[in-house]
Amino acid sequence: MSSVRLYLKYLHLHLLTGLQYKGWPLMVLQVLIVVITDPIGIILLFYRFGSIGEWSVERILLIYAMAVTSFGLAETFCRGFDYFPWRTIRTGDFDRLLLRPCSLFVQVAGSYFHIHRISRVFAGLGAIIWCLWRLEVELTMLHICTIGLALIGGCLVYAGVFVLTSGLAFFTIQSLDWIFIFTNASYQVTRCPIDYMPQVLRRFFTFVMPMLVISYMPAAAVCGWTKTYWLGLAALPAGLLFLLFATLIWRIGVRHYQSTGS
Amino acid sequence: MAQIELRHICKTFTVSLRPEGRMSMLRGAFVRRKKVIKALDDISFTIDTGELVGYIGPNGAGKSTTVKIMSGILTPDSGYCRIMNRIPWQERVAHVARIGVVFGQRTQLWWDLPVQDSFDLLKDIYSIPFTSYKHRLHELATALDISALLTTPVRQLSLGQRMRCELAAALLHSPRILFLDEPTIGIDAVSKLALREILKRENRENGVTMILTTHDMDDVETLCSRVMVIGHGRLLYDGKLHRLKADYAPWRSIRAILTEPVTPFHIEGAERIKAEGNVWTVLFNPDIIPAHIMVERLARALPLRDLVIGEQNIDEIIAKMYQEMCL
Amino acid sequence: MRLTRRANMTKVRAYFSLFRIKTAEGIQYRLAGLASASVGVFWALIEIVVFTVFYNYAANKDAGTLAGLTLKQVISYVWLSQAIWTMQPMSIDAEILKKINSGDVGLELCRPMDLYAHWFAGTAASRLIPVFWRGTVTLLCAILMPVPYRLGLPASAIGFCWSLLSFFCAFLLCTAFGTFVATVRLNVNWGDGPMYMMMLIGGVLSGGYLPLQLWPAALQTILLLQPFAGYLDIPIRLYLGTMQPNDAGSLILLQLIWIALFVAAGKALMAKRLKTIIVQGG
Repeated sequence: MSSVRLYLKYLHLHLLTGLQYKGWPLMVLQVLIVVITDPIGIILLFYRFGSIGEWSVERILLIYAMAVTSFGLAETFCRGFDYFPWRTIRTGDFDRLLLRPCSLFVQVAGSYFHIHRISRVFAGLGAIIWCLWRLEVELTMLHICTIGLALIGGCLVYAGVFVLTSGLAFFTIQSLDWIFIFTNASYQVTRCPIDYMPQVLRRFFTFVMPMLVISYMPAAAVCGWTKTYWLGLAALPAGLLFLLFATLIWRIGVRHYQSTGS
Repeated sequence: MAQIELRHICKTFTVSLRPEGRMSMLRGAFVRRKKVIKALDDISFTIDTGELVGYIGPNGAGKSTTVKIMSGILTPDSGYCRIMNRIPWQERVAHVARIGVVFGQRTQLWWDLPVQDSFDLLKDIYSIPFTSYKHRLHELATALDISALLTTPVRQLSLGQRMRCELAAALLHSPRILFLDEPTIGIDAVSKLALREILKRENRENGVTMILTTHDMDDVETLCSRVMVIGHGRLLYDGKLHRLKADYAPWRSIRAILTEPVTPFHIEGAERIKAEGNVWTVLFNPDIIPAHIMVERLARALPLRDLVIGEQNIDEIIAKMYQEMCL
Repeated sequence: MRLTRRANMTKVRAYFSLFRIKTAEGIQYRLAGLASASVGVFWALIEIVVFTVFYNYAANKDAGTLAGLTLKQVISYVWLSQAIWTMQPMSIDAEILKKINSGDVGLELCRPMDLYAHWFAGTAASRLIPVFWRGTVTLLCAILMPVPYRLGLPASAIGFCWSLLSFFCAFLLCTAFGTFVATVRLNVNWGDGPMYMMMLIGGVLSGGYLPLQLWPAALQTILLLQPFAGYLDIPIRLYLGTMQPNDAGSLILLQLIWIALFVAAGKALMAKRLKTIIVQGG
């Protein structure tokens, strides 16, 4: 409980800092442009080529938006882990965190916070709602819960990716760029209609990094593309599991750091 | 029982080296050699409650490694360490609640926010009860004369002011042991004095044990009764400061500024003379020849414009210790 | 006259040595290069899958070929664009950014160096090695892929030569734009926002998100004339032969014009900003 309070205190201080900075409307605009331009390729493709069987642009965008919103949530609330490999560990600030008698996890998660990152979440939510409306899906309570749980689970998955990256950063920071496959590159996979997606990719993003579990499966459940609704609820457990695994790597990393001090 | 006890602590680091010579960069892309460096080599000492210890040595000698081990950040390769009945790296969280660390060159204050906000956060981090926090803050703010600064954003403070706030931040949770890493580096004389005063007071009134790493000989002299010297990962000296000086730096130096350059010649009583342009540096032993006589001789032999008498600085002492121990 | 020429020679040499040192530093980061290449290959494969699906199963599956780009050409396009993707400025040189934020740019003025040229060399050097590592590895993968996914051969030998020249111009164009953005960043009050927006827009319009030929037909002329086509699209079109070697001269001229404009804009902006910095007292 005190950890939560401490985390909120961190966020509060970051907000105070952020407000002092005059350029934040520009930052909001910047993130919005990122969010809007990112799917431009796929939208233009549909514009030129038309739908692929029953796969319309709305379907693809819905899955894509689920993943992006989750990513945005994690990026907003776990920015500290996102920045950890490139900032905290390089500047030696991590030593300072080790000198404090409270959760390392909270301290790292709270070490950076940029409120403008939340614009990705709002844009994503907007896209989800638009797609559901275009697909004429009736929004029952169950559907809203499914989507909410999926987003929480997705947030945990992407938070897990950041934690995993941070844990690996204790061993090497130079060759960490491949982790990009798990972050910004991962939701590009959703551009491909699931039915046509190579098995390898499908399995990888279901069982290794459960990106499809938090995007495609809930979307399929809500829109009735499949008969197995319960799979859409797998997002939260999958997210927890992935985060747990990431935490394990993080712990090993911390132990390694304490014995090498690099 | 000693508050801090270290026995046979060893620590090695592995660093990778770049190949040298032509095309070294290119080859560095494919081959790399590893080298093991002994950062700490069998370090043992004990420190009692309320001691004020100066821990000195050149950069890279192992000072910060020792401090990191004592504060629980780093695990040693071998050896035994017990501080306040705990092994720091095994019970890190409980351990760090009772120690404080000040890094002279790194800040734990929030750059863009008023000092007060950083203190409030520390209150939560160390779970300090509200009443004792208020009391303690008032006490420190008065002693360090920072009451007026508490609402100022940190970026607007001078280095000296910031350092005083930094110290208050480290003392807020009333640690039993305080590690200070070059606390007075680069700050003005007034702040330096205030800093030393509060350190002495904390030590005297609350019995806080302090371990101070520094290059500033004045710090050591005014604060520490005991010094430990470390070099190449080994403890070279552990004892009273004045004995260290008597053994290794018996000399005083005179910097004589002349009206014109003069090529050096021997002056009776001078141990060593170095000339750089119109400045002579003359070393002599005050036990053999009193300072005023030395000055008189210089004044007679040279066209003096000004002179300064000083002690040899810490680096020279260490250099000399090295010469004696390694050669 | 001769003296100034010699001074100029030493200056050029100074920039060159700065460039050399920074490149040499970067060459060690082979692991970083491999990591970045792995992302490039991954990304390229996904794009190829997406394009294959559209070219085979979409309602108007011939739309791409009608736009002048066959599936085989698109696949080559994807590989080439991934290989040189890091050539684009994603952020400005860390060293320059640090100096701007700390206000040390004022000090730089005191040096007997042309600050713009200095930054240009720095920006070029900091990206050359990443491009080299990522490019080599990605191209190697592209050539070794099984046939449907493989990078195709250039359309003609002459076209290939022109495309090489054009790739080189693309590198200069990217550097000129990167330096221009850095001079915009000199206005500290705006923060990083405008800088990233400019680079992002450059990235989108370069064809890296979608080959420009597949964008809406009505926009084609504008898309070809805008500066960022010179990043990727023009050299790759020359490679693929979707632009004939006859047109190569004018396309490269277009690239050169944009380079000159960005350099001029950067220099002007820098001069203006530095003047205000001096007035403020540095």
